[in-house]
Amino acid sequence: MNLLPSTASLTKKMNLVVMAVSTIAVLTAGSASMYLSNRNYRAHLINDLQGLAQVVGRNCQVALKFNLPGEAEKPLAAFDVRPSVLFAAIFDPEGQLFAVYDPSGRYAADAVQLLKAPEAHQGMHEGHLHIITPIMISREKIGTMVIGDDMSSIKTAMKKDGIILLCVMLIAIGIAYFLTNRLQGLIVGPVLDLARTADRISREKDYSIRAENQSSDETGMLIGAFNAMLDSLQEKDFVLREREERFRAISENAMDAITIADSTRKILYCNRATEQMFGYGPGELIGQTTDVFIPEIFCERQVINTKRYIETGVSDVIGTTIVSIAVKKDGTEFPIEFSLSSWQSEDDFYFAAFTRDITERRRSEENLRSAYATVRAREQELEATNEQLMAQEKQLRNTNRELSIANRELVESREKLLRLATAIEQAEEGISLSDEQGRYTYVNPVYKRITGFDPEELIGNTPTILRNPAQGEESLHEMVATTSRGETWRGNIKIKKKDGVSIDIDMSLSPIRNASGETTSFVSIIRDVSRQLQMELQLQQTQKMEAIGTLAGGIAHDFNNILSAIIGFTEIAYYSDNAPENIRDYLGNVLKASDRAKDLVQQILAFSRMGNQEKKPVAIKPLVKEGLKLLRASIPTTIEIRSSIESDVAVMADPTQIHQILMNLCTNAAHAMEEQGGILDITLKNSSLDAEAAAKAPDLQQGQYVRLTVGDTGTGIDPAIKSKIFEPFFTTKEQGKGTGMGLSVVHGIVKSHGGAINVYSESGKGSTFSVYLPVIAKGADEQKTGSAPMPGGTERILFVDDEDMVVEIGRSYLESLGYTVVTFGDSIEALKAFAENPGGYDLVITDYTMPRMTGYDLACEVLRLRPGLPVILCTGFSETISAGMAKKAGIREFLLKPLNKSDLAQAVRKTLDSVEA
Amino acid sequence: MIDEPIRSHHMRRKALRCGALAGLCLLAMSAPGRPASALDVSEYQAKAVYLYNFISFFKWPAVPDNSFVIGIVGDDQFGPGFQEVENKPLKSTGMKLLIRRLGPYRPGMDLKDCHLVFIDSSEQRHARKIVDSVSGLPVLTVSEIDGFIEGGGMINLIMVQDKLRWEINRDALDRSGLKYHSMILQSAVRILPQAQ
Repeated sequence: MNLLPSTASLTKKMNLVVMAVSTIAVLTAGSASMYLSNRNYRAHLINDLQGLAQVVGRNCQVALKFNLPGEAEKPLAAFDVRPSVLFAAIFDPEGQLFAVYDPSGRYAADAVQLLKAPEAHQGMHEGHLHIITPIMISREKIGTMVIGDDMSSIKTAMKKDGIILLCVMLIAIGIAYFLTNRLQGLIVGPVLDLARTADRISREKDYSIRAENQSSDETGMLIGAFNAMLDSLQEKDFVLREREERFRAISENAMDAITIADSTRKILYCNRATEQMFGYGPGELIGQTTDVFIPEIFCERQVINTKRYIETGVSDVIGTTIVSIAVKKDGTEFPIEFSLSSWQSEDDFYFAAFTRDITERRRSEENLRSAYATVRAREQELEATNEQLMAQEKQLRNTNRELSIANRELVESREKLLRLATAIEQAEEGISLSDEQGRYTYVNPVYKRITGFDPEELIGNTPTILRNPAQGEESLHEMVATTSRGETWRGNIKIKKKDGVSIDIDMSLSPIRNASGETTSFVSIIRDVSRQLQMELQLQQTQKMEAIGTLAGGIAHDFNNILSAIIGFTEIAYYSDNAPENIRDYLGNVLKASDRAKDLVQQILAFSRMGNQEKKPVAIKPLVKEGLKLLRASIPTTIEIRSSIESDVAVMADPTQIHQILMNLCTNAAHAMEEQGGILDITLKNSSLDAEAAAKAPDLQQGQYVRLTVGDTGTGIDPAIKSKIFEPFFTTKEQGKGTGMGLSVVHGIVKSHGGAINVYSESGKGSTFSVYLPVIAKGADEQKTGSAPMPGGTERILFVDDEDMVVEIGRSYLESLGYTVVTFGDSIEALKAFAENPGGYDLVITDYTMPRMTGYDLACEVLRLRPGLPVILCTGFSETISAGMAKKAGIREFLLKPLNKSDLAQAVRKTLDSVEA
Repeated sequence: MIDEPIRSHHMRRKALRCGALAGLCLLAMSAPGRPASALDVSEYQAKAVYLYNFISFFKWPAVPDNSFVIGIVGDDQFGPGFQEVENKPLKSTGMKLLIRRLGPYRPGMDLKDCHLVFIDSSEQRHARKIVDSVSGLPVLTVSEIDGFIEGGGMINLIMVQDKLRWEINRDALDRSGLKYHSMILQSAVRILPQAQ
């Protein structure tokens, strides 16, 4: 591509490139355009000819079909209107010429030739365009038409196009040339400028000249880079010059003589100190050899050393400081110290010598040497003292090691103690330590949970603070006796909590003795077993009732047989003809008494579940309603009957016996209120026991139950006899008023129905009997709904009840439902806690009957602190609270004791939801 | 075959062109070269071919049962002329070609089902009645009787310089409602009515 010599100017090169490119582009575009228009014209022509062929072909159909070649001539003559058509020929299907249009008479043979390639419908032949078209009638090919055209129309048109295109191309190239000339200055100008600048810099060696930059394109970048290069060159030049000046300043002011020589030892440079040290004038040394500095006898060695160094790179002189003798210009010798360094350039080795006159130093060294002897003697004395000090230090180090071992042991034992303390703090049992007088010195947190006392209240006090009057003295005496013998005492005792509630604890008390066998302190471990004992008691009661039932049943059965004999024979005697009248009267009385005995036996059998029962599925609601109608008539009007019969479920039962249960319980209740009147409250509700609740009731399984409660506001049951009320023949009524079988029969019936009965009573306030009977499972669906989750929530609830058991049950029920529960066993304490944080609760559940402050008063106080807060009141029986009073105390809901989880869950949710609504 | 006239050479080529009539062609080739006359077998074969070819240049209204019917009234002089194409699909439209040899004319003869009626010269006397019976219907009437088109017939085949040609009554054709190829008119040797 060396179209131009490399010396040609940039402008010329540029012009050539642009012109070459634009000419090629224009030519290419022109050729393409010509080619395309040629193709276009041809396509048009072919289209035209095909159309023509079709019209003429159609007009020749009849001639072909009926083999009338003469008839084809007229249609073929139509081609006269197109002079460019050279010839047209029609062939029959066999390829025989049928008719021809050939004005010049030259092409008929060509047409026959063309038909031999029947596949080609159009193409070129000897410079003519020809097309071959079939002649069809419907789907039948009846002939072929061949047309030849000289394409004169295309040639004319192409010629015209070519001239126009050529003009356009020439104009385009002309414009390109013009624009190149005008615009190349934009690109080439800055480059030429740059070249001129570079030329000037190289001529003038002035690095401060800069090329002018006017654009930000690549040329601009090139100029920028050029200027940057100049900047760095200028900077380097400056640095070099500065460095040289610095070196000269250092060198000229140095105290040492600095001399630079080449490999022939010719001096190239020496500073002023050299001239002064060796006694030469300025510039006098330059050009001489270094031999002038050294005594003559060393000269030869110096030559050898230098030569060896240059050849092998080994030298004992270079890099070290050497003390030697030098010679001044006047021939005097003097001691020197010098160091020699060397470097190598491309063509030669150079050596630099730094020489110091050490005449003065030699002299002062002499003085030093004598002083040194004195110092040495002093040093020996010091060494002796030092040895003594080292011995002492070693001793100290030993002591230190012993101390650190002791320290580690201390830390370990402290950790051990800490672990022990944590275990005690986290234990489930109450653990306390007391001194030899029995005063508490330590109690763990569980102690507070069990006794209700804060550790601060206990520490310093003796256990008498927990003394319960109900606890017999014997156990305490035994405890003192055992521990004073140094042995551990274990046992159950009753204690009184801070709030006065009595609880049973399981306790172990061990004396701790010192080495001399004296008791120095006591450790006690206690556990609250109240609930456990209560459960055991309940179980015992159940077992006792079972035993009594079996016994009574057995006796009643035998007695029934005996009674049969008595009645039988008595009747025989009574109805015998020869019995005297008065004897018959006696026998009548015997029969009456026997009948009563028979009834009694029947009742005993009912209790012991030995009688005949006819159980069938019974809807319990109508049964209870019917019973209530009967009761209304037989109960004095001083007693108000309230009922809430809601359950619609069925139980598997003997309807008569269910009736009997209701009658017996209601009659008892009425008796209890006989004197002062009161309210008899009867409810029937569905109740589902979950696993947790079932575990607490030893008589019941988990499942669906119907609960019948009969409550009164009568005299209540003395706690002392509470465990006996279900025993046969136990009665509180006066002689002759009751058989003592009522409750035991109820008990027997309930047991035989797989149910349970319990009683809640407070002396002087009334009693409530609750009977649970299992509901018949109607189907799997019902069972599922039974175990469906109860409504829960996350609200904060304050739960207050003076009975620990109830508090525990309430807490576990509510927490298992997801609520956050704070419980109190004392209403005053509960109120105090509430007053500190009235906004911290969403609901208050309180017992009604509590010492110091009733649930009703608590509710009133709570409402005063936080109006609108919902309260649920738990009552054991039908305490009389009017609707107005309840509203005033913010009470939204009543819950009947004993608490039942599903009732509680429903009531809590309902109350909370009603507040939100 | 030496003395076979040029006419029969043309005839043979044309017969070959109509591929469906290949058998007919063989017959023509085997026919001894004799001067053409009214009784010449090859003349009737040519007429059969003409009738067959006419079908391509006329357009009948939609034919319901997809068959094309040629009715021959009078003697059937075609001999085996239609043998190869009878009861076979037409090459152009695919319709099945049926030939009904109707015999001598009888009053009340029903020709309405025919698409093309050929009236043999034997029925010269009844030609007018026959033509009148299908007047205005899409039935192409063809004959070989002098004065046929003057009598209301549509196409009459005649011999001109040893070649079979045709005359046309344009009015009769237009009345029938048949559509036809313009070159059928152009190639006719005589057209009625005369152009003004």
